[in-house]
Amino acid sequence: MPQTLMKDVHDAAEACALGDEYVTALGKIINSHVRNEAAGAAVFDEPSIALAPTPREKWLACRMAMEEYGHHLKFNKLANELGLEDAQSRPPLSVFDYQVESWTGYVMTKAIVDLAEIVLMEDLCQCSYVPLRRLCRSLMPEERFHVGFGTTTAKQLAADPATREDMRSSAHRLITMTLPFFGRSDSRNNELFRRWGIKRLTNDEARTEFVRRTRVLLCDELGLDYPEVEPRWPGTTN
Amino acid sequence: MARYYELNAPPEGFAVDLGPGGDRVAALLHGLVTYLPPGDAPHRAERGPSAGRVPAEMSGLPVRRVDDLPAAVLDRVDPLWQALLENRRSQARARLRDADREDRLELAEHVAMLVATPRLRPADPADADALAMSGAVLWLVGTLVATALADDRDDRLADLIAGGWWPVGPVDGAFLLAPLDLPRRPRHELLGRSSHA
Repeated sequence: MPQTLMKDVHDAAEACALGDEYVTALGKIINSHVRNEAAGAAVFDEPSIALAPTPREKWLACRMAMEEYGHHLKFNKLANELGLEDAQSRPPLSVFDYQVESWTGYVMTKAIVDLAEIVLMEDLCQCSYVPLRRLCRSLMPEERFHVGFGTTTAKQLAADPATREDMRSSAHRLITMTLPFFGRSDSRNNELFRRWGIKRLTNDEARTEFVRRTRVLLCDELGLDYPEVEPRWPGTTN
Repeated sequence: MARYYELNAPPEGFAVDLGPGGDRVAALLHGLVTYLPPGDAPHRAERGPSAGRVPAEMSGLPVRRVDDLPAAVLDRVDPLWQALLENRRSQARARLRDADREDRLELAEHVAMLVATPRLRPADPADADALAMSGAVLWLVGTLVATALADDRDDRLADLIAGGWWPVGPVDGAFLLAPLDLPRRPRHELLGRSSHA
């Protein structure tokens, strides 16, 4: 791979001065977040407000739904500054096909899908495009709270035999569905992202980190087994 | 629909753009702007809620003002009252849809979210109790935005928010009211205080 871009890119004008390849690569990352933060809020968070078993949990779900929608808008603002196409015309990632049917299912989306988001965002916290780096750093406390909420609540649910099997099957399905989130193993896009200093990790490295952290969650913290998964993803994502 | 990414206050002409009930939505959001500091500003209790706007009773229960809400109290809010409000919200949304005003609802909710969410961000982003309180106000604002647009009539819950109060709901035989800025207050300021005023 040719040398990685080492300098900071401070704004949209500097990004455009680097050429179409940089803006296109950046646009793919930003638009993916525009689309998928909105999908997460609409598909997972909003419908789950009605599933919460207690008032406090209902209101926490409401706060998290608003935060996810807020993340969508903040990425959308970056997209707008770069003059990117409207991301809403694209389909979201396939993990959002997961149907949240129970409070347990929702809790596991926060513990697992938001953890995948954290793995991606941690990488973007070093991004060469300063506005994206700053945005990701500013969103990390909220994302960490979402995962912390999912993990803490999952531990409580794991102690209850009535919810344990639902939790296990939700976790297995979500982990399997989230693996493509990180992109193909032999991704040309990822090569570009790394060349331009937008990302540091390969897709497989990010996926491996996600597997490591979810394995700790399931096996060490919740006392569950881990689904059989491949660390590589040869297919395509939508 | 106008596209906004950040707003400190409802945009100019917002009430008119919304049509019937727009003034009420704007008044509700101006209450948030008046009694909650901007999201990026440190919290300072510059203006307390308006005592003149507190009714003696709500939902047939005596009103009790509180300065803090421990997590255990949050969980004792009457779920029937919550369900009633959720029902009001879904009926209001259905009426707006039937009246081809879904885009107005979308605009009102979008602006409400932009104005309210950062102003209700807790001092500590990991404080789950404060985040739950913040979510409770957001949940109520979302409901009242829909009912204001659909019904365009006086609403005591909306009046309370416009006056700087958070109507928490019925708990243990009383209807609790808390200052609207409670989710923003640093928790150490609340320690050592009596939980009830």
